Amino acid sequence: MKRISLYCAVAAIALLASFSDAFAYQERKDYFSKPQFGGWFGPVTPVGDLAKRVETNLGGGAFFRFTFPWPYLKFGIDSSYQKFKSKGVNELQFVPVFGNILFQIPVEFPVRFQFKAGAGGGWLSVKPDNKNGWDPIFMGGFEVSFPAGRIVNIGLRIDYIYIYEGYIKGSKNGGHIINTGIQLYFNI
Amino acid sequence: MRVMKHTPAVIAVLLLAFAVNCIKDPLLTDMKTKKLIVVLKGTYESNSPMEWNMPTACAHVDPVTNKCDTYTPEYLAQMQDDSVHECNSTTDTLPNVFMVDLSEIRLFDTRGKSYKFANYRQTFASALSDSDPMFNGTGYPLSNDDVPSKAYTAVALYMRKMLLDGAKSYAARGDGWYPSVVWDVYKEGEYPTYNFNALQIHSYFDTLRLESTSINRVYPMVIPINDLLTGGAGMFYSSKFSYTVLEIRIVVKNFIKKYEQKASASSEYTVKHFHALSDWLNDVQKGDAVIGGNVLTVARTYVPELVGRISGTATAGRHVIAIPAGSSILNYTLNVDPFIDHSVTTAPYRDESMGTLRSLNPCNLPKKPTYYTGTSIYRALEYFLQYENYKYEWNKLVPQGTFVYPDATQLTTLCDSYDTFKDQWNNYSRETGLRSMVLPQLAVYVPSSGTFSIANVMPGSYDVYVANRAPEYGKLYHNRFDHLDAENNPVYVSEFTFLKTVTVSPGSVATVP
Repeated sequence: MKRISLYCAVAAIALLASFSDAFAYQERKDYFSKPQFGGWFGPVTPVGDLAKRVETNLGGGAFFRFTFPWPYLKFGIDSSYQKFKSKGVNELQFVPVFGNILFQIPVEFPVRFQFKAGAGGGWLSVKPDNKNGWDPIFMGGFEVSFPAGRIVNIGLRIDYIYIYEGYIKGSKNGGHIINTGIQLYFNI
Repeated sequence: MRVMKHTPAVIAVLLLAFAVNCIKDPLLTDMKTKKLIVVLKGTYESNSPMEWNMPTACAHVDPVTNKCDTYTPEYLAQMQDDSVHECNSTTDTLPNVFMVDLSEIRLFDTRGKSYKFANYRQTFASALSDSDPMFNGTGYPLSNDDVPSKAYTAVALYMRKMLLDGAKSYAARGDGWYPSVVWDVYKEGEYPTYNFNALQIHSYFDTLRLESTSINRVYPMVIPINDLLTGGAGMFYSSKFSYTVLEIRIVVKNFIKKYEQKASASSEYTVKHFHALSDWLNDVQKGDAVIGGNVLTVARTYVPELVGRISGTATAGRHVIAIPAGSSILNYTLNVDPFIDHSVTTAPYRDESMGTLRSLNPCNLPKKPTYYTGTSIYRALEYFLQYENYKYEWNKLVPQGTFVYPDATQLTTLCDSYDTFKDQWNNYSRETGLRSMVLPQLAVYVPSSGTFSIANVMPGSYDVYVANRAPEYGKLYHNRFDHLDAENNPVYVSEFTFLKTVTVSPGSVATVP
């Protein structure tokens, strides 16, 4: 999986380098405040106890965002599909759907740094028990974005998702997942 | 726009509320929880096994050399296989440790689909003692995951290695046999052991069959699960139960013998003495390079919250077994005379003392000696002599030979064609195969008190039998032809006596007699 992350990073840098005006920040600052939509893909990694049952895989998702009246704060809706397999019979399918607030560091850099936090629900399906259902989830994350013209943005993201089951009788543990990926999104 | 601005927050709150209300089971905890417990035992008995009864090896120690110079008669009769014939050294000792290297376990469902539910490499080293969990009736729990709730017909063990210590290599020199300890690798370390799993091949007849290149009878070792609940069709696993136990037993306790093998590559004349599981089912004979077909296994499942118990009294020092009511006891014992059609003739009458199934097979042709690949001219010449002898022995039986049983009666069916050869070995294979002779799922040894208790019995009706003889070291039980009934059908008798049919319900104790 380290190799996949490396490939993603190299691909992002190569793509950035191909846009000669990627660093023309001043002129395009306003475009970034427009509503945005896009998608991402990259390695999704179970952490902690969950990592003992299932393994890292590739996942991907889509999101929609728009800016608060204050330009450094955004609202976002995010969803993805993540399927974790194992060498044995264990398998976890996970579809998180959450809202989040993104805070952009209010310092003028050629690239944008955003922190985000949110909550929502996640659909889980586990094997071999063949059970599925919804769980509440909480997330936090960090993004780096590079504007590539007026419309296109390219970014790298890392999200931590916590699947909360503590309120269910008999629960002994929740789930920890880290999503990393390359993302492409558009100012509309 | 104002509405849009609040939409994500509303959606997040709604999803959270929906998620909290919707779910019932802690899925991630369920995923982690182990409800299928797999237990590995090394005994014939499902609980209360008999004590270790390995015969003492040494009868007399030479006071000068301080080495054993005579074996005990029991050791020679019970422990030493008849494949030991070249090296008469008396320095072999009894094994002390049984080691298993298990690469994975799979379950097969009714459609034959395999489930990799335990692909974790596991190693177990068990002292050959009555207190070791492998041999005291408790068993070792294996590492595994759960499987989907459904019926499974068989479990497959992928055994990398099975090792026993006490193996020695003997080099023939002018003044006798020179022993050296045989070392093998277990769990990435070298130990004075020998991996007999590599020899678990039926090559004495498989090599002549068309499908010989694809025959692999030991990797995996497929064990059918003949549970009563599914009418003998397999195990029914449901995650609704707190636990389901899958018990896998390999007969190791009191089932170990010593074999001999000749080295085919060394320049010195060398033989190896090693310990492996008894060849009670598939006889190992002189010169055999393999010992296949002798890992006797049985698997069963039970749900601890549903089980009952069968208790009672019986003759002390005997095995008591419980089999599904109405099933034939002959299935749980080995037929010693499968090569005779008793509905046609009552003679010849066979019993176990006349030989093993293999020696009674008229197509048990001599085995071609293994090619010598070393550099010694003496060893090479010896190989050619053995090869000539092999041709001589072969020609005695094929095509016009007569098969003479140990009681001097002659068999009219000659091994005079490949069809006959095939039929006779198929006959043999049927008798010693998985479905024809099965081990009882429930068995106990009656201790000196005379009271026994068969634990963890799933609900159902069982026929309880007691053996009519004490267990013999390295052997299980037989059946044989007894007489022809009024309609000229052969009647067979086993070495078990029927005690009682009992019905077990959850939590109950059925008593015998």
